[in-house]
This record gives sequence, structure tokens and C-alpha cells, in this order.
Amino acid sequence: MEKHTNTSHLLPYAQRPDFRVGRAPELSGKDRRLYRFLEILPGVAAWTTLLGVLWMSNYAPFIAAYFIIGFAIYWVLKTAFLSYHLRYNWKRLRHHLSLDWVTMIERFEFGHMYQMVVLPFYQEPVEVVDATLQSLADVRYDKKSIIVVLAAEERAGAHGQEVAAAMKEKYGNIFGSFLVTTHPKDVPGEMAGKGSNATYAAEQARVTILDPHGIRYNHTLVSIFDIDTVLYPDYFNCLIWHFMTAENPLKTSYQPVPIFNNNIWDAPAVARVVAMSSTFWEMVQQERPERMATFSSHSVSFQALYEVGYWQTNMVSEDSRIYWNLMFANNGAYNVVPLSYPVSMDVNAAATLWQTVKNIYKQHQRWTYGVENFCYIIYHFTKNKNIPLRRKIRVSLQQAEGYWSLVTNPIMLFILGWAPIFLGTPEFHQTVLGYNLPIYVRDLLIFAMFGLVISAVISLTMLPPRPKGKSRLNYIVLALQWVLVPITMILFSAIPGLHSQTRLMLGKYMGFWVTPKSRK
Amino acid sequence: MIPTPHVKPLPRIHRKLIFIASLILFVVSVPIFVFYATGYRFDFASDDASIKKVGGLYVSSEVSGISMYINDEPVTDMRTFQNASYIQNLEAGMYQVHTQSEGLQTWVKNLPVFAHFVTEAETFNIPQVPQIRLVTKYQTDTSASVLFENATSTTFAFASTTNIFFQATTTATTSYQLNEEYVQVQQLIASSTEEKTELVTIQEEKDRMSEPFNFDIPIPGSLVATSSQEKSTSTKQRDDVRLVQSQGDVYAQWIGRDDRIPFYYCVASTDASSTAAYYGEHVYASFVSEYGTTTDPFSKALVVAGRYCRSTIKIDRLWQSVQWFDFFPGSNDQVLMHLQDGIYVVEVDDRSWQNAQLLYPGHHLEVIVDGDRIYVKDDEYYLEIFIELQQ
Repeated sequence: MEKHTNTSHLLPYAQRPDFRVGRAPELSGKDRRLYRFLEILPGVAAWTTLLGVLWMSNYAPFIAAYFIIGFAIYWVLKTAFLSYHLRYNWKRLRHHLSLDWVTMIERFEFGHMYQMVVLPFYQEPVEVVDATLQSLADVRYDKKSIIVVLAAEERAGAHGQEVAAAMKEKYGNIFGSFLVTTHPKDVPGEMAGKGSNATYAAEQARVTILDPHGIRYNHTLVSIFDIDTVLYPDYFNCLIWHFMTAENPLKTSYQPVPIFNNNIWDAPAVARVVAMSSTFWEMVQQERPERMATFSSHSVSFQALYEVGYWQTNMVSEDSRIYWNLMFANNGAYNVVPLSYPVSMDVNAAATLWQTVKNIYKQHQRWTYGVENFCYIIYHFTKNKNIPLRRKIRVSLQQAEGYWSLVTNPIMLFILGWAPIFLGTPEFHQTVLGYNLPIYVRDLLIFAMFGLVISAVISLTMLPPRPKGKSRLNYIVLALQWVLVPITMILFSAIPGLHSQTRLMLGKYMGFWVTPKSRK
Repeated sequence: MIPTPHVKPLPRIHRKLIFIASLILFVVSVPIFVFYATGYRFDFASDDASIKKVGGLYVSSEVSGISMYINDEPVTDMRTFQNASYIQNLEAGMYQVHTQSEGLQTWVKNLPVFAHFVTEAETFNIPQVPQIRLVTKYQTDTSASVLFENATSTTFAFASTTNIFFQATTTATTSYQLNEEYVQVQQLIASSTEEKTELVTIQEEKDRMSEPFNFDIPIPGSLVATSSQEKSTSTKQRDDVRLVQSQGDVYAQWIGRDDRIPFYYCVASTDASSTAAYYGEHVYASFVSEYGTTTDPFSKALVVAGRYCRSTIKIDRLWQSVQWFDFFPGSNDQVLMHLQDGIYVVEVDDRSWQNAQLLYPGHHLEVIVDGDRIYVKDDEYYLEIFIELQQ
């Protein structure tokens, strides 16, 4: 478990020794057993479901068939339900992009606010970092109110230092402050990853910029961006509007829509579908904020971060864990506000298709390892008595359903839906039900695929301008690529998810894998 | 007043209403889908809007593009799988199914359909005009078959040939190439002929002609170790099916796992009258013969998936003597039989009757199945017979 020598600035609940627990072995006694049980639970639930369907298909095919029909209908309705949210958020996103946010915030007094931008990076090429900083330099916001913290890693060697130096040289005078930090390697108790780098950088910024300049923590908004995050011009204006209008601005995280489209014209179809699917999922979540946790690039007040000791440094999915840290430390009185305003990020694409597939798999394995948050959430629900029981139940069920459906639904729909036909008893095979099952499941899935038409249309509107040399025919490919969804759902959602849950179940904990970034 | 975006976040009440509507739709639609999937239908046509129970037919075929009729009505709303059709919404009862296509013989069968169940059948349609290819001893450089006499126009007038012929004007062979296939087929048929034995005695044949479906004569499955009457002279086996020739008749025997027994070995009925009505008296007789009791043969019968099965089915030989038999290429469900007036394809499935289709007419033919190919020696000619229409 992470050790903090001075914890007086932390909120009372954040001072608990188990507040920043990353995995079961960091605990002892009953707590350790409970946490270990929670780590085992998602994997067991997923495997029980999948093997249960196989078992039922073999020994109770009629019940399996009823279940599969019900499940296919559930999927159709879920698709329609989510498509409605997606379409609505698309409408809102476009509206937000069309607004003049400078005018929108001119009635607010926000001159005292500072924007701290934390940019952790590892071995990404200078072009990627440069594009991010250039977009930051191009925002419609007072640059002197922006504090840039370029967070390098010592383990990246000379490359990190060279990139940082070059960027400071180029952009150092544009912003109010430009701090380069270098996170030391091999810090005991830390996992090498974004969380430990960002935490180090934030503390360095506090010590070297905020405190010396008397900048108040509650006047500082921290935006932690992945290094490939390219900002739209009004990001900070939009953020300020939401900060000023939030019910409790210091107890709120602000989540933009990550659109993975920076290099979309150069990425293969499978990478584009996976990337846009991730974008769409975040868009859906934007319309149901009570289910949201922070993801990837997001913003939060420095005050809130300081009160929980910044990001956890001992686990993989620090981007969403920070929300749960804040939620528990504030006894449930903490929210996420969806900005419905985009930031552009990279599609996960490598030099070869096979390497792209491998990278996407690893990236999604890391993302789906967010199931470690499930253990954390349920564990702290048993510890924090100040959170209303109703919220505990609601969040627990939402999280359980989310992680369970992530790994089981695609496999059940596209593979196990046919299991009774192959595994069922002879009694089953000669029945009308046995013959109708594949027809009904197939027809329902085709019906559900109409949701993809919405996805295809929306994705076309979110494309960056077509580069020279790219044919108009690419638009047809970009629309038709959505037929890959059943494959990508299994290959890059269900299987890596199951892999992650199985590793957690077996206690084979994952480390942080940095997604390679490149630009052509 | 604070300026606000016109498009507000999706109101929670909207989301709640949509969720509740979806939930209601789910609760309502699942039973309806299950209801329909299991074979229930609302009969909107009837005055009392009653619920009827339906079954289906699953008819597979090796031939694509055939037309199917049920009770002489063309089937149009069928679900087409790879080489099969699934006809739904059939009320329980007897249905006559026939399949046909231009240039092909017609397959006809009466089949019972039971509520909630699917009756399976496998159709086959052999060309009306035999499709042959002469395998000549010699070929030209361009692989044209060499004929030394003007034979094809008269000898094989009943058939359709696919060869390109070269009519030789002399009997000299030096300018031609020996056809390796001819040599191979010649050897195959020669070796087959050596192994061939007389299948039936004349007296046995007379007996059978007078009693073509005499099931009192024990079938081979019950005779293997006990009867001195048996004259099992030839067997063929492929996978889990064995063809046994006994006392002039050919029988198909299932020797595989019980739970994998083909559908047509089994019946869904449990008494003499219903079995005779649904499948034919001969099917009931086969149960009696195999299980050795006339009172309740089903009490001893093998039960698979709730249906009663026998292990042996007699193949209809059309009151003719069997000269030769083997499995139809690529199928355990049909038998090739050389009867007195030609080579027939006969199905094992004996529900209602066994369809027998003439593949090639002729007497005293020599036949061999080599993989997927059927070769025949007709007089001095060797030829391959195709089972599908050739372009």
C-alpha cells in the first residue's frame, strides 16, 4: 500500500490506511480476505455464466434456448436504448461545438482561475507531444493562466529529457508557467505508470509553482491529458462554464468526450471501429452521468486532488480510480459532470495490422482491468458508513452489471447463442424450438445491427478533414467498416476483459502497459 | 441571466420513461417470442382467435434449385439453409412432400408432422436421362475419346454423354494414347467381379416374388448367430451403417451409438394403428420382426429422444433380384442397387415407402463405386455415371 508521511491535508476518509489500496496483498486479516474475495468475484461470475450456458446447452437445452432468446431480445432493447443516448449526445456535442463559449462565460468572474495541464508522457515521439502542446497554444483562453506540467519519466532515458527540453524551448514562453518534471524510476511501492508520474508532477507543481506564487488550490483546475490529446479551441471556456454552473464545483470532475480520431485516416478499419466504439461508449455515458467515472483525459480541481493525495500510484486504471477515491473521500458527495465537448486522441494504430491488433488487445486489456475498481468500490462501500445505502446498492449493481456484461454479452450473443444447436440433446434437436432458435437469434441480432447504422452515420460526421491523397471512396469504407463490430466486440472487448478478470481472479496482477503512439 | 446551451442534457425523466418502456417491451416480448419459437401460433383467422400448435418439416437435398411441394402446393415461405429447407407453421397431420426439377426424377414421400416437432427428410433427385461419360481405351492428344465404331448414337441413345469423341476410321491404335483411367476402371471392375458371388438362389427369388414384403422371414439383425436359414453373402459398411444381404434382400443396419441413430429408423408413435397410419404397415412389421413380439414390440424397442427405434431397415428391391449393391457415393442414406433392369438409387428411409430412382438401365452390368464416382461396364463399354445433370 502507498505510504504517505504527511496526511494532515487529506480528507478524513482519505487518511485511512486502506484508502489507496491497490490489491488484496496490501491488506491483512479479514480485510485482505474480503478484498481477495472481491477480486475473485468478477472472474468467477463471468466464467460461471459462460460455462453455465455451455452446460445448460448440453444438459438443459430448452432452458438454455429460452435464456438465449430472452438475452437476444434484451440485447436488441439495450442497443436501441444506448443508440438513443448516443444520438442525443451527438446532437448535444455538435451544439456545444457550435457555441461561442467565450461569450457564454463572459458574465462570470473567472480571472482568478488557473488551468493546470498535466501531460504525462513516456517514450512517445516528439511529434505527438508537439501536436498536443500546439493545440494547447491555440486554445481561445488566456495563456498566462495556463500552467503546463510536462511530466517525463526517468526510465524513458535521454529521449524523455530531449523531448521535454525541446518542448520547453518552443512553448516555454507562451504559457504562464511551463514546468518539466521527471518522475524518478523504481520508487518503492509504486507501479510504473501514468498515475505515479502524474502524482509526482502534480506535487512538484504545487511545491514549485502554486505555493510560491500563492495560487490557491481551489482556484486551480487540473486537466490531466494523455499525451496524444489534442484540444479543441474552447475546451477551457467550456470547462469554466461548467465549473461555474456546477452545483458543487470543487466536488466535481469534468469529463470531455475523447474522440479517437487524430490519425483515423491512417488507421486500419479494425482500429477505427474499436476507437470509435470507445468514443461512442463515452458519449452514451455522457447522457447518464450517474453511471460515469472519469476516463482518460479529464479535469478536476486541484483542491479535490490534494485532499485525496492525487492519483493512486499502485494500480493500473488510475484515470477512473481517482473518481472513486474522490467519491469515497467525500462520503459520496462527489460527481462527474459531462462536458459533451470533445478532445481528440489517437486511434491505436501501429505500423502493421498485426501489431495494431496486438496493441489494441493490450490497450483494451488494460482498460478492462478497470475491473480492479469493482473490488475497490465494493470494499469501501462496506467501510464507508456515510454513503447512503441506496446509492451503494445502485452503484454496486451498475458496476457489477457493467463488468459482467462487458465480457459475457458478446460471447453469449455471437458464439454461445448457437451452443444448444451443437450441444443440445437429441430431444432438443427434433423440436420446433431447436430449429427456430438460430433463426430467431440471427434475426434479432440483425435487427440489433440497425443500431450500427446510427453509429456509421455519426462516425462519418466526426471525421477530421480528409487528407490529400485519400480517395472519397474511403467514406464508403468508413461506413461499411461497422460490420466488423461483432468481431471487435469479441476480440477487443470480451476476450481481453475476460483475460483481465481471470488474471485478477487468479491474483496475477497486471502492470501498466503504455500504448505506443506514433504519427505518420 | 447565465447563458445556457439550448440542448440540455437528456432529462432523467425521459431516460426513466424509455427504460420503463423497454422493460415492459422486454417482459411482453420474451414470452411471445418463446411462445412462437416453441411452436404455438395465434390463429387470427378463426372466429375465436384460438391458439394452435404447429410443427415443421426439414427437408434436405443434395441438389440445389429444386422445387418443393407440400400437398401439391408449392412451398415459397421456407427458410433455406445450405442445402435444406425448413418449412414452419404446419399443423399436426400427414403431408405429402415432393421435390422435382426439370430433367430430374421426382421424389415423393408422405410424412407425419407432430405439434412442436420437426420431421426430417432427405430428398434425392436423379437425372431422368442417365448422364454418362464413356471411358474409352484410347484418347487423342487432345484428350478426346476414341471410338472405333459408330456406337454412341445407337448404343447410348437413352443417355446423355459428356465426352468429346473422335470417330476412328481404322482400328490402328498407334497414333492414340492409352487411357490410364480405362486401365484403372477395367482393373477395378475385374477385381470386383472376381469377388462377386451369386446373391440369391432361384428358389429364394421365387419365394420372395410371391411374398415381396414378407416380414415373417427374420431379418439379419436377429439371425446373426442362430439361424441356419441365413445366407448372408455380402456386406458393405460405411461409418456406422452396414448393408447386409440376406436371403435375397438387402438391409441397412445401424451399428453406431444409439443417440446418433438417423431419424428415419425411429417413429414417434407407440401402437400398431398409429404407426401404420403415420409410417406404413411395413414399418410396424419391421418392429415386430426385430423385437420378436406382435403384442407390443415397442416395449422392447430402443428409445432415443422419446422415439422408438429399430436398428434394421429392409431396402425395397422392386420385386427384382439384387445383382449388386453398395452405398450411394457420399451418403449413408441411399443405396445403389443393380436390379434386373438396371441400376437404382434407393433410399433407406422407409417411412411411407422407399423412393427408388433409376440411375442407369441395363442388364448384366458390372458396377463399381470408386470414391465419389460410379463406373459401369455395359457390354464392352466402360462408362462413368453422373448423379447430377451435366451441362
